Formats: sequence, structure tokens, C-alpha cells
Amino acid sequence: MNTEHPILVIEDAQFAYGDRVVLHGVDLQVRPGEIVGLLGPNGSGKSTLLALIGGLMSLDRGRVLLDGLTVERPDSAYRSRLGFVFQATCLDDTLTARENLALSARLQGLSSAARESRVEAMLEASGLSSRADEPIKTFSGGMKRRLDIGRALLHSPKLLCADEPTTGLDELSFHRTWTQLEQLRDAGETGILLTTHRPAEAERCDRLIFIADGKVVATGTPDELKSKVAQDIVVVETDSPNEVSAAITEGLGLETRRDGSSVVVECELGHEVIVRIVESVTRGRIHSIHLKRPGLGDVFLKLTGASLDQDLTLEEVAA
Amino acid sequence: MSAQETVSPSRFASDGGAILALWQRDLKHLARERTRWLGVVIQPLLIWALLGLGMGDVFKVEGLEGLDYLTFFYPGVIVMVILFTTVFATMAVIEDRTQGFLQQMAVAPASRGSMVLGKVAGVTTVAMVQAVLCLAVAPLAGFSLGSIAWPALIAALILGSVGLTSLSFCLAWLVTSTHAYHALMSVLLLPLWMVSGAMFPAPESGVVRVIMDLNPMTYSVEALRHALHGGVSEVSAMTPAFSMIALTGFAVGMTGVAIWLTTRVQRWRP
Repeated sequence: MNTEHPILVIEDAQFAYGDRVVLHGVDLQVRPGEIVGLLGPNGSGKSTLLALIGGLMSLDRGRVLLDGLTVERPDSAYRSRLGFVFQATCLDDTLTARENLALSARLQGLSSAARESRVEAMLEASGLSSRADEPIKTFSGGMKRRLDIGRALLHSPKLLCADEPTTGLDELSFHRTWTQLEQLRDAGETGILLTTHRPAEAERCDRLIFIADGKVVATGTPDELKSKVAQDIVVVETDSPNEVSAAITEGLGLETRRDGSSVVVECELGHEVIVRIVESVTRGRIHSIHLKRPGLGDVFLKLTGASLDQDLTLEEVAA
Repeated sequence: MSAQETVSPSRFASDGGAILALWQRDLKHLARERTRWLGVVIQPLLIWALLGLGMGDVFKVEGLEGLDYLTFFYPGVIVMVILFTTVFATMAVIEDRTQGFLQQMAVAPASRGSMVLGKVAGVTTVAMVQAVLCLAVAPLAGFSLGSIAWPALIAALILGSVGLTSLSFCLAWLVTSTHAYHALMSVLLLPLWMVSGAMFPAPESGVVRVIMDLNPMTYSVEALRHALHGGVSEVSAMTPAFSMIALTGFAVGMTGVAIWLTTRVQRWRP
């Protein structure tokens, strides 16, 4: 466990859009050299929390401390400690990769010498040195994302906030982007706080914070969180989830959960349970049945009753 | 990718860097989107040529019977070029917000004021380039390049561009879509240009005269008209000094409003 002094401390953060409360007293910490993931469905308050850290909106209650500096009046000392990767890449398609980084370096107030060396370093780190002088409108989504992360790190921030940094990326780009983040984490000087609703991405974080309806519902390492679910998960695909669920609960005495049209059963010795489910449910009702190891999506479903694929509206969040 | 020691930049470094960065960005856009920007000059010149030739026989100003409509209309066309340039360039503010570029600025150490000043500097420079292209046809409008009061003309171009850029920036900051911005252009900015003395001289009195007096574009047109006529124009409704003072007030005041707006009206939402 990373025992360094936290670079980011959030205490009792509360925020509302008008009378719709979207964050209810959130606490969290991020230390240098760790990747902390905020895992929750769309509309759960993750991006709002990042916007509050960025000083883009003001807290209604609580406090945010970045390297001991408060977000209440985010001055240049505060902002120079913060790197930000937004859901949409903050790049100018008309400019080349090098020009985009040079522009951002100026925005960060870097000196001429620092600007040149950091731009080259970030082009190298993004794996884009060979295409540095091409307009980025010719780049793939993954290349733009890597460049965008490089942009956010130009000024060597203490904390990198990344809002769903791999959304829309293919598998190769996903892995390259994560390699970039893990290299930064391994350097040990920067803390990374990212949001995601993808369990596969959350698995790669050092620590996770489950957020639902604007509340922190669980924290821990991916393994700690997965241990909250039994050893096996049986998933039954069916057109009659209510009927199948009732048959399993009444016939076998097992608790079930709904995940879309699927019925999910958390159990030990899943291979034996599969046989019993098939025997107890009316023939033809089950399209398929399979066994899997519990993932973070299953843990989230168990703890919140909500699927990570579910889009929550602001009204639902407020409710 | 090892992180280095974080150094907090001075206010001067971060604000100066932001202004320079945004200014350079607009110039690069101008250089790389030449066809698009050329259209912004050609359209007003076409309007000037067609309307000027068409209205030539019916346009008369009492006491100035020899005044050709191509000559009268020309200062207004330069203001139209500036207006179109500032409107198109500040439309990028809306695109920058939806596409994320503006958020990058919002979390950078630079102040909101530097964001406005950088944008104003960039767009003003682009507008100056456009206006200079437009001035190439000044002799066709009856203005000899040698007799133009160039210092006054350049001052009027800069002040007019700064004022209109800041005004357009405020509108772009407040609206949420480019469609809404187009609507504002159609119902506010274009009508204001039409009653700025660009198309017809100011009447002695009446509602139109009141609107013209309140319209900042009027002072831009009048200051340019004086400068193009070598210092003083007989057809203007105000003195060169008054038009220039009013234009300065418009430019400085509007820039102040734009800075105030960006610090007071938050336009970010996750």
C-alpha cells in the first residue's frame, strides 16, 4: 500500500445543480504514484467531482486540497499542480502535434527552454515523435488521446485528472493509453485520478472508489472489492427474467439479481448450481447459462443494485 | 515519463504566454484556412460592387451631389469585413467549448482576462489583414492611397476590430450553440451594421437617428470615413475626434465587459 502523503484530499464534497444534489459528502484521497479510479455509471457524479477539483465549478460544502492548496480560489500555484484530460480531447485539429503541445506549454506559462524540452519529451512519451509535424486531424482517436495526455503532463503536474480517458478507443489504443498512464504512475511523482464506467479499465487501477447516485458506496483495491462477491457468478440469459428469477429463488432458495434481461446468481460451486437451475426452470425458458468469475461490474451490481451500463439521468441521481 | 518538479509560473508568464498562444493560434488558422477567410473579404466586396453600381443613379446626398455611392458605401464595407471576420472568428469560442479546447484554458494557470485579450489580439490581427486586403480596391472607390490619413485609418481599424471582437466574444460566451449565434448575427449584428451610416447617411432626427447614435458601429464607420477622406469627411455626421473617442470607449468598455463576463458567468459543465 502506498503510504505517501496524499497529494489530493477531498472531504465532505457536496454539490447540487439547483436543487438537484449530485454529490453527497464525498471523501477521497489520492497519493503520488497511484492510480485511483472512480467507477460508476454515467450520471453518477464522477465528472462533476473532477470539474470541482479543476475549479470549473464551486463546491456547496466540503473542501478540496491539492498539495495543501485549496480549490476555493484556484490560483496559478493550484492550477500548475493540476493536469487535466477531459472526455473530449482539448486539441486543435488545424495545428500539428508539436504546435498543439507548444500552445499548451505557453498556456501553462513554461519558460522558453522548458517549453522546448518538455514538448519533445511529451512527443516521445506519446509515441508521436515521428509524426510531430503533421496536423492532428490526420491522427486516429488513440493517437489524439495519447497526445492529449502528453499535453496534460507538459508542466509536470502533481495530480492528473482524467475523465474517461479511453472512451471510444479500440483495444490497441486502450492498451497504449494505459501503458502511458502506468509509466507515469511508476515514475512515482504524480497521482492519477480517473473516471470510468468500464470494469476492464477499473481492474487496472491501484485503488477504486465506487460512486453511485453521488455517494461513495465502496473503496478498496480491485481484489478487495471482488472479494465482496462469492466465488462464482452464474448468468442466465432469458426472455422471461421474472419467471426464471422466481423459479430459482423459490425452487433453489438462491438470491438473484437482474442485469438487463439476464438473471444473475452469486454462489459457491457454480458448476453444480448450473445443473440445478436447468432442472428447476421450465424447459425452453433459458436461452443460455454460463459460469464466470466475479468482476468489478458484478461487485458494483451487488453493492448498488445498478448496472455500470445504466445511464442515470440527473432526476434519477437527485431521487 | 518522469515528472519533474512543479514550478508555479508567475502571473506575467502565464498570462503573457496565454495571450501569445491564442494570438498565434488565430494567425495559424488564418494561414491554413486561406480560402475560408478570403470568402469573408470577397462577399462584402461583391455587395459593395453590386449595390454601389446599382444604387449609383438613385443615391443623392443634399449638398454633395457629386458623391458616388461606391465612395459613400466603401467605409461601411470595410466595417462589414471586420464584422464578418470577428463574428466568424469568435464563433470558434463556441466550438472550442463544445470540443474541449476552452476547458484546457479554464484549468490552466492563466487568468480569464488573458483568454479574452489573447482572442481579441488574434482576431483583431486577422481582421486587420482582411481590412488591408479590402483596402486594395480603395482607388476603385475613389480614394487615392496617397491621400488617406493612414494613422487615423489604422487606429480606427484596430479600435473597431477590438470593440467588435469583444462584443462578438460576449455573445459567443453567452449562447450555447452556433445556431443561436447565427441567429444573433442575423437579428442583431447585421441590422446594427445597416443602421451604422454604412448604407445611408444619418437622418437629422427620428428613431433611426437615435439608434445610429447608440450604435457603436456608427462610430467605426464614421472614423473610417474621415480617415479615408484624408482626415475630415464632409458627409459625416460627427467630427473625427468625436468618432475616435467614442470608438475608443467602445473598444475599451467592451473588452472590459468580456473579461468581466468570463470571470462571472461560468460556461463549463461536465
